[in-house]
Amino acid sequence: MSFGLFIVDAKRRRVGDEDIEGASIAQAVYKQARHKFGGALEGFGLCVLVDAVGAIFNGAAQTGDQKPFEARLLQVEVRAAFGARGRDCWVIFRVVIARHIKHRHIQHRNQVFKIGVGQVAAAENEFRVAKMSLTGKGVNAFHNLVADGEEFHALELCRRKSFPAREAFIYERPVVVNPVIAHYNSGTRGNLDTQSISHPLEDEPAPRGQLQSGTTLVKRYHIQEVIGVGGMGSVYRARDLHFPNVTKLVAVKEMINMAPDPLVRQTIVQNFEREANLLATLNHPAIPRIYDYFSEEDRSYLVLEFVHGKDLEAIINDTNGFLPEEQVLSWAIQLCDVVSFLHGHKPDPIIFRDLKPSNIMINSNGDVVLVDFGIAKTFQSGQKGTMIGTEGYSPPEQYRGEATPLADIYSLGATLHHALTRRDPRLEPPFSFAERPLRKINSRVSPELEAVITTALQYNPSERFAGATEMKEALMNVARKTGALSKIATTSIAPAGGIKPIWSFKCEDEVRGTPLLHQGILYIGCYDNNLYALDAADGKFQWKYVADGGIVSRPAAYEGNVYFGSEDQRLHAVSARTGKVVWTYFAEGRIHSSPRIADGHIFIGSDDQTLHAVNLNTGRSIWKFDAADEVRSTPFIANELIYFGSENGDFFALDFRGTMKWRFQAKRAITSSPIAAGQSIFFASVDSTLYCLDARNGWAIWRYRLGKGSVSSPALSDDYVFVGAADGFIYCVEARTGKEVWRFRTEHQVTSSPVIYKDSVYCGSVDGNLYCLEYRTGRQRWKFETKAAITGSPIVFDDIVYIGSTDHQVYALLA
Amino acid sequence: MLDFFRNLFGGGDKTPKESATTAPLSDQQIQSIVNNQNIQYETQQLIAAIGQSVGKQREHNEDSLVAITATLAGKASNIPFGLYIVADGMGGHQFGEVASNAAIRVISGHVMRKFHSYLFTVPTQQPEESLQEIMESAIKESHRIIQKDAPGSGTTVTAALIVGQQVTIGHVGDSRAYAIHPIGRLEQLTRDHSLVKRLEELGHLNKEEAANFPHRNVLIRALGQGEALEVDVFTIPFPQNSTLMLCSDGLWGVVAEQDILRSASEAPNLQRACQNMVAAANLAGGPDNISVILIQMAG
Repeated sequence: MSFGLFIVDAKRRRVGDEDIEGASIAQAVYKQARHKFGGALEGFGLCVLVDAVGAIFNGAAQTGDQKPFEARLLQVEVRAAFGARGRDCWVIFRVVIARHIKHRHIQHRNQVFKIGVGQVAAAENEFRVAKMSLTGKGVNAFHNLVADGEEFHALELCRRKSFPAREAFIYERPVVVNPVIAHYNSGTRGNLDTQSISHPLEDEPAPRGQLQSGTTLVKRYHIQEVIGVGGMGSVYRARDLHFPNVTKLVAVKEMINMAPDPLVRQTIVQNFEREANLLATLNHPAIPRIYDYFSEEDRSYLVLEFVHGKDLEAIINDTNGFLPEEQVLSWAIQLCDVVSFLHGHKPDPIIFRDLKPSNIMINSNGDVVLVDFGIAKTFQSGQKGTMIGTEGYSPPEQYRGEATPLADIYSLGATLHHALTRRDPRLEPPFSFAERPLRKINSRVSPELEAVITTALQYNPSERFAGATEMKEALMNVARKTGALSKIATTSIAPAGGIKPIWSFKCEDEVRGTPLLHQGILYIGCYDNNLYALDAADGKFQWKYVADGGIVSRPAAYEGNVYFGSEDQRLHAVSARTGKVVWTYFAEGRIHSSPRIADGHIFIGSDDQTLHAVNLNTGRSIWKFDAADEVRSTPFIANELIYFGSENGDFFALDFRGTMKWRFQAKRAITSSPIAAGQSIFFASVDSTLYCLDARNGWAIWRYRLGKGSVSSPALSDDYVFVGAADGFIYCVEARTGKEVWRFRTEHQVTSSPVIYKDSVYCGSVDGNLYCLEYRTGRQRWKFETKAAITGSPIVFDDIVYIGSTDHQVYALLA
Repeated sequence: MLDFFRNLFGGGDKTPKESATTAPLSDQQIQSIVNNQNIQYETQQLIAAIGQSVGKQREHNEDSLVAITATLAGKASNIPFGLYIVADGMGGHQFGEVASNAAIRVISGHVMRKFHSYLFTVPTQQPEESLQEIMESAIKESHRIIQKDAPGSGTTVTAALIVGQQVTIGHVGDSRAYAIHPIGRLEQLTRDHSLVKRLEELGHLNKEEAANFPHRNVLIRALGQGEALEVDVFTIPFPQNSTLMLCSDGLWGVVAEQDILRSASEAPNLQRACQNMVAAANLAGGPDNISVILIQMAG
C-alpha cells in the first residue's frame, strides 16, 4: 500500500523557538517549493498546509518529547488543510510509518525543513482533524474539531468557520473522521506515541456497520460482498432479485450520512443526488449505467451496473514487468472516447476531475469503464472550483481551483505514464513527469507514444492537446504507425468456459428472421409458419400465430399490434398481447421484406415487384409502387422519403405519395436494407459493393468494394458503417471517406446484418456462430456457436442479445 | 380607402395618428438589415468569388485556382454543381507555377469530362463512379501528368466538388478548406500535410513552437512528388448557412483567424470579402502568393 505524502519535517526545530511562526516558515517553504515546482503551488494553500504540518510537529514537541525527533519513520500524511493566515487552521491528517522518503531540504533562517514524498508502510486507518491556532507564537492548542464519526466536507467546515472558501482552501476530499488512537510500537527508533499529537480521544466505537452479506435492501438487492470502501461508505456487489431466473449483478454504492449539522447533511445528500442525476443522463459503454437510487434511514444507495473486472491500478500492481504498449494504447484510445463524450456533454461539459488508475476498471472484455463519478462536475467556463482530485494525477491548474476539460487530459497523461512506467505519481513530486522520461524507464515504449503522453502532461494547459478527440487522433496515429491496431485486433480474449445462453427456445423449423422486442416480449417468425411471442426475460412461450407460409420478415410493433409479412403473400396484423388477428393484407407475391411504420402507414415490399403502402388501422392499400422486380429490401424512412432496393439493382427514393424522387442503379440485386444518417444513405448490393449515396438526389458519394456480393444490411455507429458479405467478412468502413477500418473473417457467408450495442458489433454467420466484436478494432470478444447456419440478425436490448438460428432455436445471451 | 382598412382590421381606433412618426433609419442600419435578410431563393444556386494576388515580396505567382459554378435550372431537377480548386506551386522547386497550373487544369478537365454527360447531354446520365472516386482519380491523374511534364516540381491542391448538398473535398499539401460559420467561427476542414503539422501531431512541437518553426513551408505530401500519392478525400454536407473557403497559405499563414472572419463578415458580398482578405494579407507584408475562393449556397 502506498500513498502520496506531503511532509514537512521540522527536524531541527526546538521547542519554544520564538523565531518561528507558522506563516513565516510557510513562506520560506512556499518560495522554495515554488522555485522547485515552477510556480505550480500558487496561492495561500501551500502556506497553510506547511504551516499546519509544521504546527503539528511543533505541537508534538511541545506536548511530548523535548528532543528533536527523528522523523524518518513516523510521518504525517496531510489530506487537507485550510485556514486563514494568522488565524485558526484545520488540518486533516493521519499518522503513518513511512519508508523510502525522498527529501528536499529547505532552509529558512537557521532552520532546515524538508518536504518529502514517500511510501507508507503502515498507517492509521482514518484521518483525523485537528484545529490549531496560529496566532502569536506557534501552536497553542489542538482541538478535536469534528465529533467522532462525523462526516464532513472540508468546504462545509470552512463555511462553518466563515472562512472565505476560495482563499482558505487547498484541498478537499470527503473524509470520515473516526478518531483512532494508534500506538506504533515499531521497535525502532523514532517511536512516537501519537497521543502526544492530539488530545487523547476515546477509543473508536464499533466500526460503522457495513452491510452483512445476505442483507437485502428494499426487498430487491441481495448484498453479496463488499467490493470497495470509500470515504462515505462501502460499495457492495449485490444481486438484483427482480431477475429470479438469471443472476443479474449490480454494484450498490452506499453513502452513510451521519453528520449532525443539518446543513452538512443536506450538502452530502445533494452531492449524492447530483452524482445519481449526472450518471442517469449519461449513456456510454464506458460509463456504468445507473439503475436505481434510494435512501434508507441515514444511508443512501446508488445501484449501478456491476463491472466484472479489475481496476487498472490493481492490474499495474499485479503485472510483472511492464504492460504491453498496444494494450495501454487501446485503453488510452477508449479513455479518450469516454472523456471526449463527457466533455461533449450538453449543455455543459462534464469534467471527470479524478482520472487515475484506481478509477478505471478494465472489464472482462478488456474494455475500460470509468467508475466513481463522485466528484465529476459540469463545467461552466470561467468557473472556479475547489481543488478536488488526487495529487500526482491532477494538473497544476487544478490546485488553483480550476477545472477545465484540459485537466482531464493531464490526468489521462499521468495515468498512462503510470501504467507504462509503473512509477506511481503520488510518490513523486507533483508535476515532475518531465524528470521521468517514459522511455528512460521503459525503453519498449515507442517514441511516438511517449510524445503523445508528453504533450498531454504539459504544465501549461494551452500546450496540451486541445481536447480528448485530438488526443485520440494522435493515439490512433501512433497505433497505425506502430502497427498496434492490428496487434490489438488479433489478440482475442475469449471468456473461459464459453458462452451460456440465458435461455433458448425451440421452434419446429429454421429461424431465419430477426426478432422484435416490444414491451418485454420477443416476437420472432419461423419457417414453421409461426410467429412466436416469448417472454424476453426467460424465453417462456406466450402465444403463437399461425400463418400459411414461412416468416422471415422482422415484425414491427405499433400501439398494441405486431405487423409482419409471410411467404403466404400476406401482411399480418395481430394483437401483441393475445396473438389474435386484427387484419391481413394480401399482396400478390411472397413477402420477405419487413414492415416499416411511419405516419400511420406501413411500407413493405413483396416478390410481386411492388412496394405497398398500407393503412395501419384498416389494412387497406393506400398506394402501390411498381419496382419492376421483387422487393426484398426493407424500406427505410428519412428526410420524408422512403428508400428501398429491388432485385434488379434499382434503388428508389419515393415520397409519401408514392412518387419517385430519384433512382439509382446498382449492377445487381439490392436485397440489403438501407440505412440513412444525415445526408447519406448506405446499402450493400449483390454486385459486391457497399454504397454511400446522397440521400437527397441519389448521387454516389463513395463505393466500397466488398470481396463478394452482400445481402446484409449495414449498421451505423459514430463514423463507421458495418456490413457483412458473402466472402465471410464483417467489414467496418469509415462513413465519411469509404475507407476500410477493419475486416473480420468468419468461416462462411455473412448474410446476417450487424447490430451495434454499446461498443460491440454483433453479427451472425452461416458458419453457425454469433460473433461479438469490439467495434473500433474488430477484435473478437466472444462467439457463440449454434448448431446450424445463422442467416437472421441479432437484436440487443438491456445487455441481452437475441438471435435465431437455422438449428430451430432462438437464443438469449448476455451481451 | 381608410374606411376599407378600418373594416378590414376591425376598429378604427387602432389607426395610428398621423403625427406619430418613427425615427428614420441610418444608412448603416438599412445596410445591416439588408445584409442580414435571408433572401429565400426558389432555386438553389451556388455563388462563388475569388481573390488572388502575387503578394508584396514574390515576383512570380505560383498559385493557381479554378472556380466553376454551373447552374442548370429548369423543369428537370436542379442540382447545384460547382468545382473549386486552389493549388500552390512549391517555391524552391522549379516550375512551381507549371505544376499548380497543370494541377487545376487536369483536375477540372477530368472532373468535367466525368460530369459532361450529366450536365451537357440529353438524356442526362449520372457518372458511374462515386464522387470520391472521381475526385481521387482526377488528383492522381494530375499527379502523373506533373511528374511526366514537369519532373521535380510540386504543388499543393485543395479541391471542392459540390454536387447537390454534398461537398467532396480532395486535398494534398497545406492549402486549406474552411467553413466560415455565421456565428464567427472558422472551422478548418482539411489537415495540412506539412512537416510542422506532423511534428505538432507527434507532440514534438507545441502550438507556440509550431508558430515559430523555421521550416513551416516544408510539405510531407505534394502533387508531383513521390511515387505513390495518398490523397485525403472525404464528403461532408455543405455547411449550413456558412461560407466555404479554399485558400493557400499566403492567406491563412499570414492573416489571423479573427481578421479572416472580420473580412468575411464586414464585406457586403463575397467578392468584396475576397478583396478584403487579399488586402489583409498584403497589409501584413504579403510574403507569399495569395489565393482565396469563397462559396455560398443560396436558397
